[in-house]
Amino acid sequence: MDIASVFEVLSQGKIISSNSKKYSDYTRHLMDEEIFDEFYAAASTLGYILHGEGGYFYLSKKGQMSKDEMEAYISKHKDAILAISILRQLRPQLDRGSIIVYTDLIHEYKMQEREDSSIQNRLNILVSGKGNVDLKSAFDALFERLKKFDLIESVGDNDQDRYKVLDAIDYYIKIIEVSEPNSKESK
Amino acid sequence: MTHVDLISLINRHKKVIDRAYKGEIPSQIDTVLFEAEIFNKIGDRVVLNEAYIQFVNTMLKRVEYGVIFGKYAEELQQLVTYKKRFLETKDKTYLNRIRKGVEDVFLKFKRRDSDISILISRIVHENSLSLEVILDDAEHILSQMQELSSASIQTYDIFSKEIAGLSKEIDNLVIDVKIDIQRYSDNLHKYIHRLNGFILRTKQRKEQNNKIAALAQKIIIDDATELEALLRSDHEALHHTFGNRKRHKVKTVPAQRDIEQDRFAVIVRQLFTLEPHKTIKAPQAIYKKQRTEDKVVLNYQKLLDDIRKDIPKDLFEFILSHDEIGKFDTVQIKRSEAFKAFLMTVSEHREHTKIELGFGSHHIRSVAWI
Repeated sequence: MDIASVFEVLSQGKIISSNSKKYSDYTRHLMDEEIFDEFYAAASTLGYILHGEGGYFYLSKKGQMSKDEMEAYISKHKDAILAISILRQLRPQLDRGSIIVYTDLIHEYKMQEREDSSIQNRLNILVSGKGNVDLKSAFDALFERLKKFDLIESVGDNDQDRYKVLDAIDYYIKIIEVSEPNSKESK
Repeated sequence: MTHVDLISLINRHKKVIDRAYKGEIPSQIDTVLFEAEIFNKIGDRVVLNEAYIQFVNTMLKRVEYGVIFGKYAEELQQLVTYKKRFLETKDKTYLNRIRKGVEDVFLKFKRRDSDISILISRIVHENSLSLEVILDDAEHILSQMQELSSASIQTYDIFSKEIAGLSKEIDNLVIDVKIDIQRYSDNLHKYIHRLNGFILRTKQRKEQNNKIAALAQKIIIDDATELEALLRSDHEALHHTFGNRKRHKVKTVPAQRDIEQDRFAVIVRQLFTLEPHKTIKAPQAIYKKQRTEDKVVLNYQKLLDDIRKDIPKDLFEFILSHDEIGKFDTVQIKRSEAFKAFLMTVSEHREHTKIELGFGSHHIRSVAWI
């Protein structure tokens, strides 16, 4: 493992989590403080900021973003938050390291959808652009999004049903916590 | 009604029964459910059959808190009464009852310890219930455990102060039991600590879920201005501003000011460390070791001087036996070197040589120096 390989992955816009099996070599490498500092300095000179906190790592770009970039960045964050809100509604206890089961979530969704139409709204907004889709396709799209946002990872090599929730979910939860001051209805 | 009929009946009315099981009182209940005694009427009140609830709890492995926690006060009170009777009557039957009572209390403690441990694991890993129900259950269990904790102290005290001193056998039993009760009491504190932590985390999770739901709602109605402001502010220092990109594309173009930096080349080299090519090994030629030889050289001048001095009759014979030829190793080389010297002498000093007709020794024509 070397800095070049880590840069290769991070520069694709990935957030890599310590509890990810796929990127464990990369995160272990970055956990070495000396290597992190070295990478930080190098990335900084190239116009990036390396972030490493709470068990996940990512790069951000220094300087102003173009209008398009800014829109894409905000819309990505909104989508991720909607996706997390669906997960947390179906699994209120869900956290980093939790295992979610695709089929169980669909089942739970069908139970909740009747009583709460807002979850259906959120799912539709997330998978809009796919046209009028059936529930399975919608859930496939949701899981694809979650994978793309580096929030979940398949547990086994051939397991399409069980997924692990990655540390990077905390990145979005932190943003939510800051954006939403203490809610009034808390008990 | 057969078993299959009952299952079908329950299946037909599953929604109503489920609501009743969850604590709601359904307004419209089919009379067949009363006939089958799945529901009972107590005055105006409608309740789900207790036997049915027990059955479902067992099958779903729901925990009956009452069964686990139980009550100890009565048993302890009984022990004190037996002691009083024994002191009055000295009847040993009471001693046996006391011993049995102590054992029963101990066994209850023991079973309860493992039950509580399982109960807590189950509630901590509960996934199918809502956070409200989990919190409610957890808080209920916590209060029960706190009561139990003081009950343990009470039991310990009664064993120490009331039961001790009646007989040696009971004293020994009480000592053993007290040690274990102390251990279970310590465990109970650990469980309380664990459950407290869990309740706290669950409350935070609940709070967090409220925030997530509120923010998601704002995003849907396109009113997430706080979130957008947060994302826009200081984005480079905080956020993941990098969009996902496909592989094998140009990753980034450095700005001019970066390229102008003195250390740019160094940094780029660090970032993109190249694998060194495999070094090609030079073929290993085998060279023979050079042997050093002492070169033997004939001192012709000395030979010639000696010839002039000696004036030999047989020139070749003289040369062959001269010390300068003697330097060479083999007879063959000696002869060859001697012959070369002989020829040289004859050809260069023709005027001092007299070539005879006959042959001298070694089949070489006799030449005399003159």
